[in-house]
Amino acid sequence: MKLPHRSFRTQLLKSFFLVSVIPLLISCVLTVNLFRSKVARDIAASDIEEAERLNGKLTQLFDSFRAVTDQISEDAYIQQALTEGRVRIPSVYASLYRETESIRNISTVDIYSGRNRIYSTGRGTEDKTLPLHYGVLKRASEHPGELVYTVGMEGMDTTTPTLDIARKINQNDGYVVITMHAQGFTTLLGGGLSGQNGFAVVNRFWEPAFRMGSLANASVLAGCRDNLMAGKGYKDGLTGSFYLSDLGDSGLRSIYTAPPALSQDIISSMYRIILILAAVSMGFCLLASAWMSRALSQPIHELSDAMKRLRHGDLDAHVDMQREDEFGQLAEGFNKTSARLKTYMEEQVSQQKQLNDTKTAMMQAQLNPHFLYNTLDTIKWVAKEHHVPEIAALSQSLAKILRRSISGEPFCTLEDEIDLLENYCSIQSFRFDNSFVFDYDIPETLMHAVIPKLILQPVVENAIIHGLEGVPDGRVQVLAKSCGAEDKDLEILVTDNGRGISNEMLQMLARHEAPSLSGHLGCRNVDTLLRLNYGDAYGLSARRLPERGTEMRILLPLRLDSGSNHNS
Amino acid sequence: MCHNRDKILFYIKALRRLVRGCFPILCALIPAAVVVSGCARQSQIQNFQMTMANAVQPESVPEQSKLVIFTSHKKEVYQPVVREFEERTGIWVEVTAGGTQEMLDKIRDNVDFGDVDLMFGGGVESLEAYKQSFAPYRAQDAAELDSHFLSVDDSWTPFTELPIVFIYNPKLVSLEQAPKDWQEFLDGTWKGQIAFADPLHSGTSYTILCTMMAISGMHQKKLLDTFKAQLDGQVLSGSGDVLTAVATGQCLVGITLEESALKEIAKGNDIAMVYPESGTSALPDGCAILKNAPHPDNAEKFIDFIISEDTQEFAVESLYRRPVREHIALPEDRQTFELVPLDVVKNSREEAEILSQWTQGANIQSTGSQGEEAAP
Repeated sequence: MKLPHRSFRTQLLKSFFLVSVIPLLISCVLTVNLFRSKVARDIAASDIEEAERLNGKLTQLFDSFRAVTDQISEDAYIQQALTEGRVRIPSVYASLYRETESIRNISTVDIYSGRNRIYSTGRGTEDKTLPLHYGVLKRASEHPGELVYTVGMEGMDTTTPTLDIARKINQNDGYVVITMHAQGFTTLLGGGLSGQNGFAVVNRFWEPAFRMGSLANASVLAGCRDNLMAGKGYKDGLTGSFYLSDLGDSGLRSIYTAPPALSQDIISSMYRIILILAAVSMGFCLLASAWMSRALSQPIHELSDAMKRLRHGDLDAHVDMQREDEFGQLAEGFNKTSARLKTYMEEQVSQQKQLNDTKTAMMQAQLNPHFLYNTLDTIKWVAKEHHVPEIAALSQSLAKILRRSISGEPFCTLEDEIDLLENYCSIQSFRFDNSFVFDYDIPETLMHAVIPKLILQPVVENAIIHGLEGVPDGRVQVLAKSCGAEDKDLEILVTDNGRGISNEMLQMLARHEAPSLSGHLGCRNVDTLLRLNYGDAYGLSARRLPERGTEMRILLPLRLDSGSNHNS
Repeated sequence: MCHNRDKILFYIKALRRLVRGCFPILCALIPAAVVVSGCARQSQIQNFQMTMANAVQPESVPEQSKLVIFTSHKKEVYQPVVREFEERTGIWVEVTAGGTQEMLDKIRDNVDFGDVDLMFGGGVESLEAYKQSFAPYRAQDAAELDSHFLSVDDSWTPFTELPIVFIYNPKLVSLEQAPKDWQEFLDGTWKGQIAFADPLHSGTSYTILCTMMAISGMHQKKLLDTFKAQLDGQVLSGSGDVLTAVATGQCLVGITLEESALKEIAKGNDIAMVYPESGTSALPDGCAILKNAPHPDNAEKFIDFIISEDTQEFAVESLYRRPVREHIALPEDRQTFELVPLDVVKNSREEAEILSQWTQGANIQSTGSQGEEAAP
């Protein structure tokens, strides 16, 4: 009773789990992922927009640098000053200030003649030199007319980098040098970056010209550079998104970085919530399945109990269930069934009782066989007294047959049966004017074989009445021999020399059918008796003999009477 | 017929058993599939991020474009040189900076691993002492170098030379009073007014002691005792403190490197510089390729680069150093002086002994912050 209950509960739990927890998990995980991708997408889009904006400002600035240096290189006063050497011409400053108007708030513009600075839009007028064969002026002299961008080393200040842009504008080593400090960049780019974002401008060796936001920490870019040197991806070991972009043809590169859209903390706490939800719903599943299984199993248990009582004979078994549902119907059905069963059983019992009463009455009505036997004995003695030996012999034989047939024993020895046959045949012989003879040939050992009582008599009777009808010198012979594997079976043959068995009879015997002709009933009973006692391998069979007559064959297992104390 | 039906029944049963058996696997597979799909989407986001105008994906640096150097120079010295080298050659340089002794010890301990190419900086006497770690290389322009500064076996190549000079505070000491020669630092003229770094921490100070011994001809013990008496038991903990002490007037005079003095003067601090009349020593600093260097070709390029005319000129003009290459014009503020030759090998050998004599006897008090040593 326990195990199926538990498995029922497990099945319920499984189904609940399948319909509640699994869809919950799937939808939660899908939601989190969708949310994540949506947020990441949005933030990436806004990051890209911001990076594009900053890059746009820078490339725009670089374009204006080109325009400004174009103007300066075409300025007659400046060219004159450069060609003539270090000559201060007052109107130079006027044109320099005019031409650098657009960029002066974010950068310093210097004019160099050789290694010496001769004009500057910066504050003060102190002398300043730049090496001609090193750094920015070297680059500019290698690419005359072009703007060269280098990461500055002005003033040996190594902590805050600068961006130097130089252009050779005069054959006589005349250069314009634009210097951008961090402050200029900040003014241009509008300062504040959102959140933890960072922005930097680096040269092709990842050396920064400007850093702000999260990239103001020099170690981040240094780490990227080390990664590249070590043959790894530049952002190896760094989290967040990086957007790299070339800034026009300046050879500089901008780096925009943003922290991960959703930090690992948020993601893991979301998954934690999902797990808690799943656990809670799992708990509900457990409770619901327990409740359901109890609600279902209790009526089932009651019904099953009632059935058990019924099985053990309690026909008053009754289920009292106040339910309107299927279980109520089932209980009602059970109650009806048991009530019907009870009525049926009572009927059966009363019928049987009637039958028994009738049988008793019939038995009481039967004549006492011993009275018959004693009467026959008396007839025998009266006949002897009056010297009618035929009557004496007949009544003696009949008495013997009667005595044997009324004995309660179901089995007898073959010897007893032969004795009975002899008595029977003596009567029949008298009836049929000695028209046949009866003899037998049975080995002495087989005389003690145990056989069902009265199985030979009907066969012999059949042979005498049907086989020898109208035959003047009839003969009935009984033969017995052991046969089969290890002589375990006994074969008894009853042959006559009559007119032979009819085909109809042969078929009937072969098919074990009840004979339609009256008078053949005895043979059929023998066959049935043998089959019931010993199985279908045994029984009665018949065949027509080639010359004339019939052979009836009785086959049964050989069993010898151990005591052999049978009284004859 | 009957056989067929049995077969079909068998298959149906097997299928049902399979479905029942797969139930837990199905339960596990569904969330797994969702997570995997989530990850796939994540990578889509990564791809999406690259959809930006002018977007670039930097590639890692190829091995033939790398150079790994150790340096004992200050950043203001090595950075412009290294950047110029990168710009000209396209070679990426990885720099690890530290004190001379620290770097040389690292090199000695790790030379077998072959992950560093070059030592840039360090007095040639130090490089000489560690020359078993270096692979000889004769620079292309070696013939152009001042033969005074060449290594006998090309274990190292000199970069610049750093003469030792006297400094004084021009606000406190007039030009006439300013120290003229080494004798003044031994005869009590500036007793208790001398800014001098502890030779235990400053290689420059040790070189100064060696130079004094060579010039005065005094026995080393006597010289050390005499000089210590002049210091009045006061030494500064680092070379940088010498300049600060003089500029702030804490001391009146000092002995330091020409480079340091010129830098302070350029900054506009109250320092004036005097070259000793009887001459001074000028120890070169050098550069050497390590044995087992992973990028020896690039290391050779670097050596050729630092003694090239451009770099030597840059060192003179912008780093306030003196060239080792001949025919490099000196600015007006650099006077010529008589060079006092020092036996690099001998001084290197006797350093420990002299320093232990220095610490013995007289009580020396080290003052000032433990500054970074001005690299020779």
